[in-house]
Amino acid sequence: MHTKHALIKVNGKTLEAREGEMLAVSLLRAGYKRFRKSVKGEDRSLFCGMGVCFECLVKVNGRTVRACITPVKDGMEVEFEES
Amino acid sequence: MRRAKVEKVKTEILIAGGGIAGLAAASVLIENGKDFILVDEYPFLGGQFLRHNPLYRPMDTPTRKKGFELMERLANEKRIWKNTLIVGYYEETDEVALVRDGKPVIIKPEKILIATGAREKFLPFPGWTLPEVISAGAVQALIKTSGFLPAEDAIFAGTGPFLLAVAYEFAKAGGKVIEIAELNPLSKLMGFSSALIDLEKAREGFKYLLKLFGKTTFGWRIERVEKSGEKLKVVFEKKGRRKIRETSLLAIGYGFVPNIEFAQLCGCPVIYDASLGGWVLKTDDELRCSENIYAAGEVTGIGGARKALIEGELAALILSGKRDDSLKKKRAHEMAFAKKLNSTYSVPENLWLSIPDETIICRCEDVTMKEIKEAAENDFVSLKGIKVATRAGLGNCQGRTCFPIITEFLRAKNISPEPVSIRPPIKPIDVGVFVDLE
Repeated sequence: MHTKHALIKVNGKTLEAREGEMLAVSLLRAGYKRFRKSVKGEDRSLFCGMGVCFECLVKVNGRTVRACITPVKDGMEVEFEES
Repeated sequence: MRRAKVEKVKTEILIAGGGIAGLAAASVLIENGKDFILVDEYPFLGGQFLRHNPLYRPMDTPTRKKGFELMERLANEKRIWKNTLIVGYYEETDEVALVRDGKPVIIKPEKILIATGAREKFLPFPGWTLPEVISAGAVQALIKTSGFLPAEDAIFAGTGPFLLAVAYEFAKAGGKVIEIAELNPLSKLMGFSSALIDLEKAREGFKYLLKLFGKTTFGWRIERVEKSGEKLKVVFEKKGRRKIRETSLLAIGYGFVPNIEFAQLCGCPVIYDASLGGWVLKTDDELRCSENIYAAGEVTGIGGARKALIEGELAALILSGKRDDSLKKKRAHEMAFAKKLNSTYSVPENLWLSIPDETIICRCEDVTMKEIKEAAENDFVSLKGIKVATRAGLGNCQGRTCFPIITEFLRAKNISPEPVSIRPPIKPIDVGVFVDLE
């Protein structure tokens, strides 16, 4: 399955993830349950899982991406607002 | 800072979408020696139906088997571009602008095959934006692609056989299915069983039944969902009666709507047909939308993977100058099945009107049902008008989630809105793509 490991930074903390796995899955595996604050300040997480709803927007190396369709790469720096 | 260099490419046929329809078409075009480029937004091929981990591939139906054969055959095909987002179509020059691996590219095709698939549809309720409420499709993707079980137990609610398929995967992966709450009453679904005189689909249905026997309830709708400690409290309602269930995860799905945005930009005619899933592309029986534009798969009507496979092959044969009457016949059979499916598993019209005021409809801009209703009462009765009045659909997803909901709400009020007009970029893109900072 995913044998290659990747070290990524999540909000400054190092996380061992699986190279090529969708970033949202790696974050959920690691126990992160919320990716974004809504306009009114509600916690939001992965919803559609297929790149449609934009609820799992996070920053990767400074660019905004949809975590559900962004594969993990070694050295990635991920940022989002934790609840 | 200057404008980034843009690569320009010519091709005979541009296939938009690398799901089962697009891949089937690519394979037939290769066999017929045709020139093409297939583009797909995702970093993987196969769309949603074939979105499996290589080690997690149930080859249990002929359609899935065929799909994975296509994936293998086309895995190293240079004319298939993954990670390529379509930005727009420009009529003046007949050019399609794309972003491939973060870089702008322009393709000038002679013909286009639209195979952009579908997305899920939802009937919202207060609490559907909670992080523990996710789409049935997302649950399936998490399990099939990553082998990740998002919770130990779950309720599946909504309508349609897809819910059963996902609940089945969830149970097989070790999750506890608390309940599958089918919105429609059993009496409405009985007529559909006659459509199952089809071995492939009957076998699949039987498989689910064995694993999930006794878990399915009928006719209950979700009234609201609240957090209750670590769990979710789901309040169901049926004819004035209420019941409460606790669960770690609530997976919802109310059917699908075609992704027609690119086709709209290309000027393809769309029609509203509830029995085909809502706004669909209008084609002739050779899948032609207009002189040089063809469509295949869910965009012509929500009908599942086998229909998509047949239409992908048929469209590619027509594009290769051939005809195949037996495929046309098979397609007609699939369309009849699709109509039965969508008419049976539809959300009852009155439920669109009884969405509580506090419910968030536009998840991007947190616009509530109350705001939508007020706008509609003040004569903002088009999607564009509601968008301007409330900001619904102005966010990142560009109305992909809320416009189908608002459309159904307006239709339930006997208003027939036009689909919103689409402008590029079809999906938000990072502006950095178009400038060269070096």
